[in-house]
Amino acid sequence: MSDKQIAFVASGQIPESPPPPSTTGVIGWLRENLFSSITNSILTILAIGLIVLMIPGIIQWAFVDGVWIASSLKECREINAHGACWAVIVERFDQFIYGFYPSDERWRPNLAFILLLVALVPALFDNVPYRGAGLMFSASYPIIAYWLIWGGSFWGIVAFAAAFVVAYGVFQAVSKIFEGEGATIGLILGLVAAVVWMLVAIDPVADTIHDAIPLGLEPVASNKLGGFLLATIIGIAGIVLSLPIGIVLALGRRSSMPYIQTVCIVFIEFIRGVPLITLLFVANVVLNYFFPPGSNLDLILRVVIMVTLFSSAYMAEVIRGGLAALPQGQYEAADSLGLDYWKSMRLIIMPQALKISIPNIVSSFIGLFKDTTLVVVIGLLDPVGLIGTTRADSAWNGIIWEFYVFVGLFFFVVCFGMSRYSMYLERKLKTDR
Amino acid sequence: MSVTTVPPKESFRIDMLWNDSRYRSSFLQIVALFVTLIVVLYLINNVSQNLAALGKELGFSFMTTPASYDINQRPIEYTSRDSHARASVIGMMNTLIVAVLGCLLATVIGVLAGVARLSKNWIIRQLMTVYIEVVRNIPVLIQILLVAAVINETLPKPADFRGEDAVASMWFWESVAATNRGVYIPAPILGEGSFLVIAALIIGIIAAVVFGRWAVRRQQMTGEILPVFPIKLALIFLTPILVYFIAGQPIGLDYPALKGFNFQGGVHLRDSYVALTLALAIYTGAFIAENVRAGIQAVSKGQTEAAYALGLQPGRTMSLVILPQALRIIIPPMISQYLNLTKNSSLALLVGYMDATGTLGGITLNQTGKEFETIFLLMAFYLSVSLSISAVMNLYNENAKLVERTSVVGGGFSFLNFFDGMNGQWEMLKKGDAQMRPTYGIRGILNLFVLFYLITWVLVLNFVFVEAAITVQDYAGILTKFGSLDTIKLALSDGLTQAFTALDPAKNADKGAEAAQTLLTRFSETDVRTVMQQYIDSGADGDVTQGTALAAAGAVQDQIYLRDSYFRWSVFTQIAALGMLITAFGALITCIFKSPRFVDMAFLELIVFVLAVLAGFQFSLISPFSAVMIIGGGLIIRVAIIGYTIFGAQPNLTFFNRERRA
Repeated sequence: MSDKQIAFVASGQIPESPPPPSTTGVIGWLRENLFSSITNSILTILAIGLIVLMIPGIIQWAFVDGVWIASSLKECREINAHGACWAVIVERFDQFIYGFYPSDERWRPNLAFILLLVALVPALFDNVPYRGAGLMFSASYPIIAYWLIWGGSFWGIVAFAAAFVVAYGVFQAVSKIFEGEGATIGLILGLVAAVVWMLVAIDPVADTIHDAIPLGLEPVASNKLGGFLLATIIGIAGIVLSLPIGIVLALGRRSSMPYIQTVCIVFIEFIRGVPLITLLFVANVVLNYFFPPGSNLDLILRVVIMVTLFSSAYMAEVIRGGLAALPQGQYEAADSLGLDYWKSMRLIIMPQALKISIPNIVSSFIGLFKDTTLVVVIGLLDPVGLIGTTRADSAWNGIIWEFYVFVGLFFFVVCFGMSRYSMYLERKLKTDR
Repeated sequence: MSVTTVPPKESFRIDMLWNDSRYRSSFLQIVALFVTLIVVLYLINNVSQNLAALGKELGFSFMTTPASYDINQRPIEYTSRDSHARASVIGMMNTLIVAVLGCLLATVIGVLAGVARLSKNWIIRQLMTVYIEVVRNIPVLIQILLVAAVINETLPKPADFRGEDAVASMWFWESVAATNRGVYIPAPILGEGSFLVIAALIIGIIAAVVFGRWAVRRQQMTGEILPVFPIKLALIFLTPILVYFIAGQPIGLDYPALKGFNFQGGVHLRDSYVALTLALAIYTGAFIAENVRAGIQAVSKGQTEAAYALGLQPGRTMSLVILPQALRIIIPPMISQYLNLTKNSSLALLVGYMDATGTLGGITLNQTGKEFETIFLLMAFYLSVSLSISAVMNLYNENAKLVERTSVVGGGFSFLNFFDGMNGQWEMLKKGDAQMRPTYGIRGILNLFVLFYLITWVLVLNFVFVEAAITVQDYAGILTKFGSLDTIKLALSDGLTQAFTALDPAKNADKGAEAAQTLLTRFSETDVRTVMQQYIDSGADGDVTQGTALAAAGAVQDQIYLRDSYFRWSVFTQIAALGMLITAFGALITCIFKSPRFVDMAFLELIVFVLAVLAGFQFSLISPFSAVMIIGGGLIIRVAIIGYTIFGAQPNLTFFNRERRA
């Protein structure tokens, strides 16, 4: 009994054997990812079939058979009957970019665009030299761009910019006088001062200086603007203006003061509940009634106002999400440090809340930029509007895909780029782990 | 003697308004109130000055004037002689049609794409990523216009289907024709006895639900699992099919066929409608796909592993463990995507589909020049749709969130607070007790309420906006159609039917029948007789011109209540009717979600109901069926809801559904 032998005892470790060849390398990957079951195999074959069917056809249509130089669709078809007629895009390229902007003055939007890139650098990336001065330039960029694109007297713009200086001066002065809650009152009084300045002082001041030292660019009427230039103007103006308004609305909605909270909630829910088209109708036919009799506000300016209001309501909800996601302890910690409301918001709460909401802010920007195409309903000639007018031209009647591919590609590149940038930002700002 | 030091009484200083936290918030709010008041007054002042300069007046009376434009897709009867109000209602219906069907299609596309994006298959995953990224980053307007252009320019013309060697052919055994004017599909013809089939379908669905509940209870008691799915399927589909053959195939199909220059018969889905729905569904589907993917990925992997450890198969793991948790995350963003789709459907304007924006904000605005009123109504329409959808979403969230032992009513006032002393099922429902939530007694009676409210909702809407939107001019028109007072006399003495045979049957039969039908549905025959008799007795006899016919119409109008258009009612009645609609709708959706809040809604509805009667809302003018439903059923059901709440669990009306625990 006791001397019964144990059948087998391993005396050493068995050497590792390689995994079966069917699970490694290319074959393994294929088996795992493409042919793991019968259904999957069928799907794979169908998908490959679809790709084989479509991609060569598209390449053939777009590049191999594509016609780049012709003066009408008929000519295109004579050169190659089955290819894309890119000639229309080539011929109308300038129009798609600038609309009907006078060709002698096109350096102005170009310069404005280059300055935009310059202004974006300090705002988007830290670690750039002279960032403080750069940010000042970024802040004043909207006014410079407005002057460059619409033209007019230089002094009018300076007088307009002075409104902000006045507001800031009043804010500083008031904050000094009323200690404690000075910031709130300073903000209100500063805004009031700016409004008063805008209503009363701008025109006389600008006219006086302009009479003394005439300096300005040739004015360009709004109906000359169009194409991607218009889409970019509306998009960027909406983006830039909606962020601060959105922050204020979000703070208002989370405020403990019932009146302010109610006003913010009603505004946000109202704007979010109606389609942008109805707001554009308002910009087109109703908004002028709200301004003093005799003042005829520019249509694009009215559109920018409504687009900004629209976008800021969505922005407010996004930022409110970020504020709600912050743990209560952050608010309490800020209070316990003795910071007042604005300081605690500026130094403790907002940096964290904005960081949390970056992906949503960017997707809201993307949505806004895509929505700029809607201005076509009130007759502005943005790229989509230009498709309509060009298709109506007898020389190019009958083209469909080329236009939509071209315009769609532009929007795709911009929006996709923005979404990738937000991913980069999200990764960069992820400091908590 | 102890000395007490009285703290110096602090006197009020002006800077305490903004420095002292006791006054600060009130002070700031008062300042804000004043600022907003000043701004609002300034704006109103500007508006009134501008309007006065243009000689315009605000008012909604233009809504009752003839619209005089045509709408190509009309869910309800409409001619260009009908009022702007009716045209707008048709536009709103068209918006809702696109929204509902678009949402359904988008959900199908989105769920498929979202699941495919998580597929194990690499190539499918990549394809779906490409679809989602491309579609999400291109404006929806471009997609709508592209689809519309493709339909218009690449699909065959109806003429191409003609002849022996037709260029194009119909699909699916000659039943579906895709042309550049839209898609023609077969329409069902409901023959005699078809109601049997429909009834069988409804009974089948009810039976399937009852069977499902019974099977669940049985499984809980005995552990035995029945093949629920095939039996449910059989109940729902086999029953109507069997009845269909027994009743002698009463439902036929009306196939579209080429007649003349176009297809006739069947249902015509217009090109603009198809393009809009398709493009919106593809666009929104990409967003829904992302929501679905995120929702499924948010369920932690441990859940799947735990389910496998319990021995569940992959399919049941998905349906019993993963999906219930994922849905809680997926549904709220999905509903906000539905909201976006509804709002984006306003782009219909650009492809020529007559939705609310196309009618009210388009042609009506341009024809009447009433910017403020039309845009106000348009915004009010979209706002009410959006707010209803978000109310549904909030109720869903309240329903779906993890149940804790706190009141689901939350803060704020509720009529339920009056019954705090009660206990029983209602107390449990109010507290959100997880164990007591699915009590069938409450659910059963709430389903009855839902059914009732649904009917009331449809009837009231129909009454207020569709039936009532008839102008006075129409009545004059109807009377002039008779031609002379003699024929009207004949109609009055011998009954309307005889009058029409007296008219030239070949020419006027249809017209007369139509007029008689309209007259009879709006007035009772006796009413017409009495009034017209009075008019004839008063001596206005002799030759009849159009003028006297109009005078007759005026007399009718004086003595018989004309069911006037909503916009001509007194302001108070308008508000009362709106209040009834809103509270009835609130009660409907709270009942659907079994939220205790529905008691509040029923209370409010009762109050508004009484106010509406006091305001002169004349229920007796509603057609008899609606009147019985709204007055009789309405009062009884409202009182029943409130009574049921007060008496708690005692009146257990659905005893056959109650929980039976061994």
